[in-house]
Amino acid sequence: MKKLGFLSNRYLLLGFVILLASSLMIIRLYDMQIIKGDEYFKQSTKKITHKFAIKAPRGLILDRNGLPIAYNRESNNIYLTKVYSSDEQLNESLLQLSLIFEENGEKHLHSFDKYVLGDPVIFNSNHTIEEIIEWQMNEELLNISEGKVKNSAKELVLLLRSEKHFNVDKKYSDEDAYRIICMRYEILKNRWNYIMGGRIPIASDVSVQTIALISEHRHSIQGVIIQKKMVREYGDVMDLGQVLGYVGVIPIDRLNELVQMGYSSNDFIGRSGIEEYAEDYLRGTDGYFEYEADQRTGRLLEQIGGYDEIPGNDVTLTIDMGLQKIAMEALKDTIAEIAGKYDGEINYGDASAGAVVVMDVKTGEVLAMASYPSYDPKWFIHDDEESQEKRLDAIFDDYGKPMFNRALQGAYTPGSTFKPIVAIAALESEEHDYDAESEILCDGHYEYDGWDYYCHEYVSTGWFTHGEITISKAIETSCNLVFHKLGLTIGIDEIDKWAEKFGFGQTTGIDLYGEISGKRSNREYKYTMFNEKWWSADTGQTSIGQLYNSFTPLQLAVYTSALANGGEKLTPYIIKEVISPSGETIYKGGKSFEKMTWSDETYAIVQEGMNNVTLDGTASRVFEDDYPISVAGKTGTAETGHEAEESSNALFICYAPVENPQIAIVTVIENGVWGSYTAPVAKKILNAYFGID
Amino acid sequence: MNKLLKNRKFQIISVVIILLVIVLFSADRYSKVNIIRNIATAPVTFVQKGLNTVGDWFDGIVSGIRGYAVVIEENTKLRNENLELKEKNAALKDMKSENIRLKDALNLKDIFENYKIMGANIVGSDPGSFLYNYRIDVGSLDGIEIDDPVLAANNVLVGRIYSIGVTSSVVVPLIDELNGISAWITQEGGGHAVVKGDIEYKADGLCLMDTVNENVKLEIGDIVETSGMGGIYPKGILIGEVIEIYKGKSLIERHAVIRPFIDFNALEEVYILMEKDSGEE
Repeated sequence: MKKLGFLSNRYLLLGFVILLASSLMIIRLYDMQIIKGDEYFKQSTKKITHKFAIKAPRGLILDRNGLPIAYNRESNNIYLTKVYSSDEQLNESLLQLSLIFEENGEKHLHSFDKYVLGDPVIFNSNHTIEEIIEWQMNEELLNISEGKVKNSAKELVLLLRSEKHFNVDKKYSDEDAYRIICMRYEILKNRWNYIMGGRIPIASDVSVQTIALISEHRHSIQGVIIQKKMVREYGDVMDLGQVLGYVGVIPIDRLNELVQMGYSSNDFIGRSGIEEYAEDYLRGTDGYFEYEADQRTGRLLEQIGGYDEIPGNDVTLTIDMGLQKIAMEALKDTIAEIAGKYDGEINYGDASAGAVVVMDVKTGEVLAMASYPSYDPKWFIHDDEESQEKRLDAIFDDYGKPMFNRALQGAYTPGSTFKPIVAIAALESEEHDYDAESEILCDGHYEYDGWDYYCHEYVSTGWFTHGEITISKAIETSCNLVFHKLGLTIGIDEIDKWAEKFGFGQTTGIDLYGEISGKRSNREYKYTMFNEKWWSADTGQTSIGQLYNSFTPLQLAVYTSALANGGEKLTPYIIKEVISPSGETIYKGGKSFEKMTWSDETYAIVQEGMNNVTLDGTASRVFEDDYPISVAGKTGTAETGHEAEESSNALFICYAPVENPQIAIVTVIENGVWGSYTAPVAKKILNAYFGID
Repeated sequence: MNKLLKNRKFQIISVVIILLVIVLFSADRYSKVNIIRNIATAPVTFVQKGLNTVGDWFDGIVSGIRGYAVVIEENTKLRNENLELKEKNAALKDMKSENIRLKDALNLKDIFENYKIMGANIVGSDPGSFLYNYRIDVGSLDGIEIDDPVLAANNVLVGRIYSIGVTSSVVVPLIDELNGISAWITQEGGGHAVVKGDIEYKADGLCLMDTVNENVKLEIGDIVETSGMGGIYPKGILIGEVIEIYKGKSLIERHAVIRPFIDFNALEEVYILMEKDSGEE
């Protein structure tokens, strides 16, 4: 007791304790404030640089009346970004995020399972074991030394859980550990970007529910950024599918080239139609930002660099969506109607596809361009099951070929729609003096160079002949025999000269990719293709639009427009104008043409004949007597060479009004049996265009 | 040994050493000896609660240790003046406020049928913690859990439970920078958005809103409430109103400043929503 004497003094003891306690506090305070003060202060205000791109919204695509056809919608996208956190915190955040994604059915980047599947944990059989070993040793990725490479997926996952790799705490179940590793792997793949303060995209276009869950657990899910991005959306555009096209990821083979042009690998580009053709107009310039951010919350504090995004330009088309819809519906209905008239002899009920082109004969503007069957561009930008299925169906439908734009990629034998060319060639021929009064005899049969030619009406009736008829009347009645005679008289070179002038055998130059040039039936073609001489019989066949002639509906529309406007071979166009985000017009589509000349008399003769086609001729049953506008038309029934098993292709070309032509319409129906069967399509379009009830 | 244990001085020294060890350990806020913190705060909470009750007797007098001297002084003075009357008054007032509180809780019960509602007093701001955290007088013993939503009367959002002790817990207010709320703008042309605390705005008692859904018109004066989609807050708790709208860093991002309906300065009582299945029901 005495040895501890000083302790017996309670006050002294109390004083000692207080002194000790205050000393400790002072030492601690000194340590915090003076020694480590600066460090703590820095830590509390420590900043991190965040760098990220803001995707520029793509320009709109509008119809000629300003109706948006392709536009953008906001999407919420999830990115991972570096904040100050331990492996433990990061792993827990990633697990929670992963579970939210799963719960809400969000597709998120999950490239780890290209090599290791999660349930059960096995190597993905898409890769050979050699590839998997090589992948494990990849220095840019897992960087596992040769001696530690694993032959089993379970062992690999175990290794990746270790401190040396992703440091996944033992408390996590195997399933959760796999989830964490998958997320960590995405960061690893993009680690330079991540370390430099970039944003790693992890899920795109997530639901509001997912946003809600992530945001409300913000305190425990750290380093997650929700960023809005505009993504493509299409209106009611099924009728314009092939013309509009769609956007999609960059094809692998173009990736390098496009990345050099400033695209990033996960960008969407126009993959077909206008979306592809006008890519450079539609595409905006992405913004880029560098911010100082709070390292704890990732909150952006101050912009230290970068530039704003510039949206793409808006493209206005010449297409009138109202008319387009009517054209497509008329085409579809007419095809169904024709197929319904099955008779097993001429009509095999096989009409199933076709195309319509409506063109302004004064400017070359394409007002409507329908190709049936069509596809919905939405199938290519939406990722739901139904869209995926329809997308694949569309791509692999070899029969209907909905991806194929028949209007400029389909080549069809013109049949009798070719006859006005032969008429013009004959009327304009300097060697022969055909005119309005010239009469050519149709007595049913004609022999030339040892070949027999017939009038088809004589063939079908056995007695009927047209007698002596003018060229105009020959157009009206579509008498084959008269055109055989005309063609044989003037010769193939005269015919071909005019066919070329009208633009056949060449692309029209429309502002869409994929157009084909078609074929003209001439000496050169026959020689090139078959190394054979041209015979008069070839001329005879060509004169009625058969043999090698094959044209696209668009070429026929250019031709019909030229017949209407008196010889201007127009370049058809579909982009009316391009307007920048600031409202400036940066491109204006306009009329461009090559002029061919023929006499007013020739114009009048051909026009009279074509007008009579709808009044008294082959299409007169479609256009009733009191039809309010005068229509110049020509039917065409083109033999496909398989008449024993399939119906002939059917065509109708027309323009109206005769007195002051405004629009030209071309309809082609594959296996449409008779040209006149397709005229109702044109009539419905004329009704709509001219407001006829 | 026994002798040593019985030695009074040794006992004192031991207790002092143990206390010192506790002091040293709990000096670190993130120390794992939270249990010590919990035990230690239990009596403190009691004291704080007592002081608060005293504070309630005198309108406008700040509770807490800082106000203690004033309380004592005025208390003495007033006692001398009219002790009996004041006590009566205080008792009446206490009953009245208790009455209002029960009524409010009853109202909230109607709104949140699926929740158990627990009333609590604010007994001070959390010592040493972020400026805006509040300590309340209910804890794990009462069935409180982390992330339980905290409301004020009239269905106005305060925040959520941040940490729990045995008999007390800490509420983090909605304006804290780590907080996020899945929100709903209730007007016609409304929709989903995210309300977030912000380190700069919270000093003024405000917070921000972003990730505003495309269909939302967003106008000043819009009323914002919880959406019920985020997993923490049930639907329909009032958050605040839009007082400013501005464009974000990208052309399509819209942001807004939100003034919460809750008046943090006048906050005395709160209600905790506890999920029924996690409680004893």
